[in-house]
Amino acid sequence: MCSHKKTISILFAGILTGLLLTGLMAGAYHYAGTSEFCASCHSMGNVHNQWQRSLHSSFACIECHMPAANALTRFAYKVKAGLSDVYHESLRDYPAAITLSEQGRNIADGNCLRCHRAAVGNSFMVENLQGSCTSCHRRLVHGQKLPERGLLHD
Amino acid sequence: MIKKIVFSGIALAILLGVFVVARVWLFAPEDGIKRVSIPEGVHDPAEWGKVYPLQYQGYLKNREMAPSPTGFGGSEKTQKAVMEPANLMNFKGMGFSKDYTEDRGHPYALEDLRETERLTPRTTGACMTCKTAQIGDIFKDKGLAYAGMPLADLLPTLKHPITCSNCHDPKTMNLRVMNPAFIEALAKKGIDVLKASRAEMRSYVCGQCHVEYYFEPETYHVVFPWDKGLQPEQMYAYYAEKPAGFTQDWVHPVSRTKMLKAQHPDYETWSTGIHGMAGVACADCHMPFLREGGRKYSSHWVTSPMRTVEESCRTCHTQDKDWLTARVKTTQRHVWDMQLRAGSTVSRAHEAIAQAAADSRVNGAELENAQELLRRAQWYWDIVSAENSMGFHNPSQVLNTLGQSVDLAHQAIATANRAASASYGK
Repeated sequence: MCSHKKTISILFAGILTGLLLTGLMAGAYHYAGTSEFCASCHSMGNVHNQWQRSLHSSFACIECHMPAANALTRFAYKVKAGLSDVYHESLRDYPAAITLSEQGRNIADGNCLRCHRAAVGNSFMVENLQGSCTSCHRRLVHGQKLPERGLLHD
Repeated sequence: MIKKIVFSGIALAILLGVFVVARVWLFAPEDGIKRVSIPEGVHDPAEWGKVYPLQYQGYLKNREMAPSPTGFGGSEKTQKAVMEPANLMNFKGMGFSKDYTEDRGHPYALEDLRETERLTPRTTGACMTCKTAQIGDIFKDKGLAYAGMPLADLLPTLKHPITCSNCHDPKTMNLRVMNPAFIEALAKKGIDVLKASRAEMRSYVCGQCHVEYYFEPETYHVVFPWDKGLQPEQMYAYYAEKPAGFTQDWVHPVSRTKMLKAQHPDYETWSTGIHGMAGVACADCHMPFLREGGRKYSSHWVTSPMRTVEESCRTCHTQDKDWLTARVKTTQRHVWDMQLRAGSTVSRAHEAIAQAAADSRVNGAELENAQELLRRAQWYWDIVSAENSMGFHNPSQVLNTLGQSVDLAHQAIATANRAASASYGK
């Protein structure tokens, strides 16, 4: 009787810990998808500032920069991109002009069309796409002029 | 054994996690530069460097002497006439035919002023307006009178070339301009330099010196010929009205023509170019933001942006470095080709006019027409040749200016020939 009770309590403790951990992981995964978390990296300060002033500021970073696919693909991409970010952010070796990789560009293009396909789907822009959406629609979100402020502070 | 491996694995993971959290969040690189005041009158960059080491390291790189990455310009002291022999004829009778080199960096400003063969016992203080950080002190002390004083008397008091304080207010570190001529030129256009925005100041600090100017006769005041506008035609029209009695820089000994010498109109050329019109400041390309350990600061190595294509160009332009460099080289090759043609045609015009003038029966009025055409032709060539970007600051305008120069020089030659041959018919 006594040992039986013990087994049950261990089982419960295990399930509880498992639930808690799962909850924590889910929470962390969710938090890691917020624009606020993206901006917590120093290298993202500039693009974050620009995005806040853009016409797309109501959309979170991941709505353009994560693939619009099933949960597993998204998870895999997030791990891959996240590891690369952690690596460069820790080494602080990111370049002055951070640009999209080919994969990153394709993902962003896909997300442009996710919303805008109805408008441009039948046009040359999609049927005969040269380069990417941002080859022409540059500075839509990132790259506009920043408000006047220097690097100096007190 | 397995336990050991598992534990050391966990320990390693925790350590790595702590490291990442510390680097990325707890001790994130500082943003920006903390303001520290320097006492007014301190012009030694090493003193400023104690509180602004990143900027000072960049400034020291201005000492580097190297050929230009595109093959034009560069920071080595080489005579321009080696690549452009027409200089020798076109500047005959004045200092620039004796000594006219590619310019070295800001730290050499005083040394190069002392060394240049262009100095004569009559050279005045006006020549050091843009060679020293002490100009503010001198101006405060002596007023505009410094411009007319013998340079030889002032040189021994000069210790510092172009340094931090030429562009920075030592108290606030905000950008400032010192050159009284620039402040006056802007005031005449209705611009109060004290009210300029930071973005404007990022070009004004360069524009206070990298411009076309002349010395008023008698007083030697430095004046910018901007009343009619900043383009070559407008500046020429300004000079044509003989401002303050200024008629010429020198009389050419071969063609007996009253000539103008153009200085380095980098600011004017940029201002009507595509980058200038789009509001890209001098400092945006020539002093791009760099990162040291993630920390952002502006480069103080004021040099060709072609040394920092990644930081200077690619923050706006999405093409790669090789593509962008090739575009710049193409522009510069086109301008160089036209500049050589213009310079040599102008040289031949000097000779043609001399030949015509040697004819005792020459038509005097026609000869004067030829001289005026030559004066303009050389101005249009020189205002491009003296500029520091081999056309990049404003490709279309520069090619137009050189085209006018070639045309005017040919007109000058034809008019001189006509002036001489007119006499044969009589």
